[in-house]
Amino acid sequence: MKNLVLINGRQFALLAIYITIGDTILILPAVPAQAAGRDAWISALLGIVFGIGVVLLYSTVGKRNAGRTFVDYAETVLGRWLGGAVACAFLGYIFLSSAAHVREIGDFMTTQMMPETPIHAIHIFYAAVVLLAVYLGLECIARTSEFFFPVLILFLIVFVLFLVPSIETSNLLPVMENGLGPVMQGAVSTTAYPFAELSVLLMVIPHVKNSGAIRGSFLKGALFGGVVIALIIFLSISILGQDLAARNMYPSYALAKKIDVGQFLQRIEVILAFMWLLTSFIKTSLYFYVFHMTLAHLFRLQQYRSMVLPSGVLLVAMSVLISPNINHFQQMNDYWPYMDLTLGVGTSLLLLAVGFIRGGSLSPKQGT
Amino acid sequence: MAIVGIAAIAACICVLEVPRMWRSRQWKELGLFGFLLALGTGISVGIDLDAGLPNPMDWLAAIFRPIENLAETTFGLRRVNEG
Repeated sequence: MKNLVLINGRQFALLAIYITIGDTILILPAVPAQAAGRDAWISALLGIVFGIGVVLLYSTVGKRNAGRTFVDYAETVLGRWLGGAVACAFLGYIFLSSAAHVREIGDFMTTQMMPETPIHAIHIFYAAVVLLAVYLGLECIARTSEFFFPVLILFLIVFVLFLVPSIETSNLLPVMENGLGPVMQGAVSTTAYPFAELSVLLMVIPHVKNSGAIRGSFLKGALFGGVVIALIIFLSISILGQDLAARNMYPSYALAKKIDVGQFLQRIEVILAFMWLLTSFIKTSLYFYVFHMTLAHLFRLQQYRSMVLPSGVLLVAMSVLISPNINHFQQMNDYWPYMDLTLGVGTSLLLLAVGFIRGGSLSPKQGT
Repeated sequence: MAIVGIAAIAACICVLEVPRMWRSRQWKELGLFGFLLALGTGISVGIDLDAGLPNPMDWLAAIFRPIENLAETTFGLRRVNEG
């Protein structure tokens, strides 16, 4: 691909924040709550600790392949065929993740906000906006994320401030009554969903203008997002209690319904829904953009824009196909974290190890 | 009815995209374009006809459920409340 688009370090950090918060803000609190019960907030903190490790791994991979994308790097290190196989697995993973994100929007809308609307209609409209973003490219997605960031922060502050009075610390006690096992089980999902999914940014790293700033921006963004996620999980557990947080499909949405300031400011859960739609939209767009980048690198295409519409049709079809109903979709939470970890962290480790064994001759001299 | 709509959308996409690729002789792009569009349209029609298409998530589950079990038994992970 010629004429490389460039984003700056700040935009890269913002993209990391959006990927970390992304769809996880609404989906995640229930998953560690099912595993770890009232200790889910400890899982969230552990998730941040592991997540920093994951981010350091990714930025190391990003540094080693400076100027080349993840897929190019895979092909350099593992050779055309093995690297191509890894890239194909990555491609499928990115595509299924995008389809799952579209499906999450559809499921959320049809169960919580617009029960009469067919899910396909929501998918098609949402996918249309995503396709437009992908068509306009990375720069546009980065600037959109920059533009909406103050709004996101404002809503987040409002959300947290209004919920602080209803925290009941008794919901958190006793701490760690079931030992470390459940907490670690919860930490698997709190590591995988926000942080392991940052692997898509490995395809974005070559587009960052100042390659020296990558590690710092990456860490800052992921840390910020992780703190937000941990805060949301903490609020879910301490306000709803472990039972409701685990049973509810969208605990943070149920949480927002609890906001009640002086019997006047009520039912502002749509704020959370907006926040989630925004972060999820940026995440889906970036995922789908990375899908096209991977496709273009893998097949050595001259341009990716012609692929946007047909793969959009495929995206909508796949988002319906991947699960017959919402319960089946929720079941994926059992193994999806392991898929994130295998394809994100596992692949990075593999590339790093093989690259290390094959020596420094592969690392590029110039850091563009 | 839905099939007609799907076909119409596929035709629209072809009209929009094919001439540009044809003119600049991007045959590889054209091939991939055709493949993606055929796959997408095919799956859409299959869903509409209730053709019982295989679910790719079931394949992934077949791969990753053993990994999940392995990780959980190795590290002694467990859940407090199921579902």
